[in-house]
Amino acid sequence: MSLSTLLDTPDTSAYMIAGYIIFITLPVLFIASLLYRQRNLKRDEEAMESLKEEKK
Amino acid sequence: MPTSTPRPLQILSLVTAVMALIALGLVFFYAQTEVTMGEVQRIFYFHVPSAWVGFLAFFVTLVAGIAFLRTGDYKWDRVGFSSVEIGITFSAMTLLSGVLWGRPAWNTWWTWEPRVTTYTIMLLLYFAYLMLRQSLEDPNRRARYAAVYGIVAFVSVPITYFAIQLARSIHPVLFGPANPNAEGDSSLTPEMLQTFFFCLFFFTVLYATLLWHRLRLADHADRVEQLKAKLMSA
Repeated sequence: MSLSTLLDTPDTSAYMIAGYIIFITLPVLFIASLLYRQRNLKRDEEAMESLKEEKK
Repeated sequence: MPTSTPRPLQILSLVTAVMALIALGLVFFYAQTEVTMGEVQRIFYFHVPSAWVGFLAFFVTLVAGIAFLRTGDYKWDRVGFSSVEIGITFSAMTLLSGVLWGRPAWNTWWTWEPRVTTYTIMLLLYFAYLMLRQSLEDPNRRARYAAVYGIVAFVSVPITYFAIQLARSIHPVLFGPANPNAEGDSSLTPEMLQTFFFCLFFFTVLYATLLWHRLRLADHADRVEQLKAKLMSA
């Protein structure tokens, strides 16, 4: 192996891309879980409100 | 009952989204490529800020735990719980991105060196916080136990932070005296430093935005619980 090959900057872009996929995916998943739980709560709230109306 | 997103939160969310684009722009187009490690060094700009947000989130849980025990106000329980969820997300990001950085830098996917080991233990401790909450039905007991657990679990945060100074480690040191055993350490140019500090600020704003959204969800869940209790008792 020549000295210039040893001194070359290594190609580590695949690891960098994988890293940024994680940095983007995890917060997106967290936000998606917030939206999902919010939707379920809304549904529960509506169901209970209608039950309350029926009881009246 | 107000359920629509308040105007300040809408603005904060928009600002956070714009900051995300600026941060990515700085990371990929402004900061130079590091010569020794190559492109993988760019992980550093989001890796360290996500670790910071993890620590910050767990610190907020500590403060919320103390506040709950002092006041008995369930608002603090919701703050602590919400913050742990965000802290776990960001700590997992830190750990996974560290694994990806470690492969080319340390020539291994995983090593039981002090920082990585203590970080993993810290993350597992906060997963256990969520499990503890899940296992308790009574809201008062759940809030009290979670508050105490959140205070005790925080001990893992300074241990994790100082692990590389207390024990022989190959993890690079960013702040404080340089680690002579560090592998994958690098000096930063002014552009790299500017990018790093902007990312640090962006992640802090992102944490505040997510916490606000998560707290609104917790408040909503609380209202639904109260409605359910009212219906059951009627």
